[in-house]
Amino acid sequence: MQVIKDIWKQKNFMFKLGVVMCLAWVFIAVFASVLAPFDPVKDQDMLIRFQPPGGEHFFGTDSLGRDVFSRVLYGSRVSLSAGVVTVLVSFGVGILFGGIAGYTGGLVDDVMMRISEMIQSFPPLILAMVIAAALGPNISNSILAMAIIWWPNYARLTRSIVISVKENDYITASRLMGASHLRILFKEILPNSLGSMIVMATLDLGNAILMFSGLSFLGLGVQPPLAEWGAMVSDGVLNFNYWWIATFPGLAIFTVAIGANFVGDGLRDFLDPRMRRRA
Amino acid sequence: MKKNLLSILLVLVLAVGLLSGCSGSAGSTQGPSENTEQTDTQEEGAQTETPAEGGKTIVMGAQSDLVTLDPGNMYEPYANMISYAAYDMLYRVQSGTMGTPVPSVATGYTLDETNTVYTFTLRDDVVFASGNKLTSKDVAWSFNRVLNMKESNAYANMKIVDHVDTPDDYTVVVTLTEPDASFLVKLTSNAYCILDSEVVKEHGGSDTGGDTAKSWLDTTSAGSGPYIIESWTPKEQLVLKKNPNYWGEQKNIDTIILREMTSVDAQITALQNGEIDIALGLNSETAKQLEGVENVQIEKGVTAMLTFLVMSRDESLSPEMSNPLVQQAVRYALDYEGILTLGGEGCTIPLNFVQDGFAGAQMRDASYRDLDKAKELMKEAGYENGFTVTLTCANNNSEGTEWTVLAQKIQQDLAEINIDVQIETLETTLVYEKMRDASMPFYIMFWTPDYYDINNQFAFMPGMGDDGTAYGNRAKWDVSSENQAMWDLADKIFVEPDEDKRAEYSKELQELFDADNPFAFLLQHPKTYAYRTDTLESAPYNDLCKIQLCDLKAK
Repeated sequence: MQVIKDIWKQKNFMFKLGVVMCLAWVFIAVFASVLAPFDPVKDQDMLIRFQPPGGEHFFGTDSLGRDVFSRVLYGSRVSLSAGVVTVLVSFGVGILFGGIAGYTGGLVDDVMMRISEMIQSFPPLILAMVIAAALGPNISNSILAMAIIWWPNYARLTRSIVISVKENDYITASRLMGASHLRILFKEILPNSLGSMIVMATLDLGNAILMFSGLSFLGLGVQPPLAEWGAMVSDGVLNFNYWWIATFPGLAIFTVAIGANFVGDGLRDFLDPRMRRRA
Repeated sequence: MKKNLLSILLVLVLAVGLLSGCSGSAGSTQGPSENTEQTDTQEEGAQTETPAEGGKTIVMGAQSDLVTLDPGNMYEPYANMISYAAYDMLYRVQSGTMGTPVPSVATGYTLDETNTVYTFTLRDDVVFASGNKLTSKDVAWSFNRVLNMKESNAYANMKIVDHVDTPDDYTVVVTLTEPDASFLVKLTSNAYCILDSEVVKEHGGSDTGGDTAKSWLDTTSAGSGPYIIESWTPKEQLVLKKNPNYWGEQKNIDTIILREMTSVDAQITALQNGEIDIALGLNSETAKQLEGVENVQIEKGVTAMLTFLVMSRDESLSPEMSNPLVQQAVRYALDYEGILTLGGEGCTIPLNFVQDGFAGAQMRDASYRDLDKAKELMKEAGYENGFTVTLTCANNNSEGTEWTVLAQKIQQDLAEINIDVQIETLETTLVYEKMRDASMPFYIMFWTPDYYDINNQFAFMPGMGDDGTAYGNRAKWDVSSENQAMWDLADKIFVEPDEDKRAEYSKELQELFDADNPFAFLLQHPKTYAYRTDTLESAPYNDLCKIQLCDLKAK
């Protein structure tokens, strides 16, 4: 609890703004069904297609007469959970992979790191598109595709931290006490490298949401009629005369991505000893 | 705090940049534009070349996909736009109809009692652009040339011809391999263009096989139409010049330029600026950007493009959806009024496989929806509690009506009769592949005929296309004793020379078809295009030859 208080006490306006933005979106995602005035999928109405924002429909209506406001609110569920799941999966895989590589060293390290670099040598969005298209477009496949291209980042970071931490005296001490490799890796090294990993994960959350929207925009994410921001922007592009269809989900993506980045930045500042002293 | 304010400002600027960036890239997703920048510079270069000899010049912007200008080889959607301007046929499509043939070089014909021998009498005043007189030997030579080019795409329309005789200079006798009531319609297509045999022979033309005139015909024309092909740079521009020796009424346009513009947005901007006079690449959605623009007229031309649902009769794909009663229930459950709204202005709903404009076409009443009846049929089929089915939908559109939007509407409509539709969007090429394999229970498709006659529509008849080339087979709808009556009528329509009788049979067939078929026909779409009213009097459209260049009138 004290840590959270300390973090919050920082004189960092952007960080606080970021936290508020993220919490607001989480709140919206949880209570979308209460907050949304219409059903995002079922409330089609051919008579009120392409209504501009105002009156009953705050953000206007789309090509099937659905309420864009409600769809943006519901869309947060898909986007946020896709972003969080992607980051968590990559985080888990990356930390394990990088930890083992960094701790073992030698040939094992070389082979494992070359594998991760192989994946990183592809343009990320293109590779994700290829994987998602090959597996068939749906939410779980695009999350899987994103996790596949994302984990090497964590693997590399973990490895470099592990390599620097494992030279510390307390590691040598625990080894002398007869601790097993597994115990050293999971009880001593990894907990001590978690800080920077969490910062990276927070920073990545925004990127993951952005990329998931990108995949959906290209028709590789969610299947219609599910409301999802990227897919909604793509709808808006097809109906170019009606700016509100693309603008509001676009702004939603923007606020979440930037909010997550602010939080990540703030956390990094807090965890960086030099920065903390200045603050 | 100041620093914070600054960063907020920066964020806002970024946001604005992001939004405008989006709009820029949005345009390029509209069409398969390969290298917009390059074409742009080419377009500029082309513009300075535009001749200004005092005569009127009309510029069209389109993405034509023309690959050849040899009428004996052309097959592309825009092929007949060019062949109609530069060549004549025995019969032409009547302006303002879908495919009704009217005499052109021929003055009329007689048909023998076997319905296979057509005797055409020709006009004696037709001259080619070269000054040569057009006689029956040119007609026979041109037909035989295509008959001996079996690898050509145009051959498909010609292969019904067995042989051509020329008893005198102005009589042509065409003998068919079998009776075909659509022969006159086929006669209006580019395969039957009449070439100046003397001139083409000089450039490698041959009516006995081994023809090498194609490359020469790609650069110019050898016909008797009101325009001559002056130059053609593929994927760049095509220039048509007035034919000074034209035998008919002279046109008031000297030059027509077809400029290739891959991006729809580029066409829209160019039309607004007056750089082009006709924009052909529009659809019902993109045309909205031109609404209310001064001196720009948006037009809707009638086309034979259909959008429909296929519900396979293959029980292994979906035991529920393959049930004929369910398929009938689907037709009753669809909200045609709503679908019509989605299609946009100018759309119609054909009763089934015969489009408006073809013999005896019947229309579906927009208020056809009857949920009680649909529910009753579901109950009768044993599925009153509903079932789940996958609706496959390609990332495609029919003249601007997005299939994914249609799919969501259908999902909503069918939910009313407890059918839980799961939408699956796939790449278009993948859907085509699955369609040929007949491996989808339920999907959205579109259709444009190869020639503008009801005979071409029999692709939707039971059992048609045993190699997956037609929808009867793609829907696994087999010929049976119940639908034999449909084939009896279709066989009559296929050969019956009297159009009125064909229309009667066609009406009867459509009613039989409506009672039992594995399709739900949703929309017949119009073609949207726009022209400038300050330079053009009119720009009539026909689905076969797109813009009727011969009927184009400048102001």
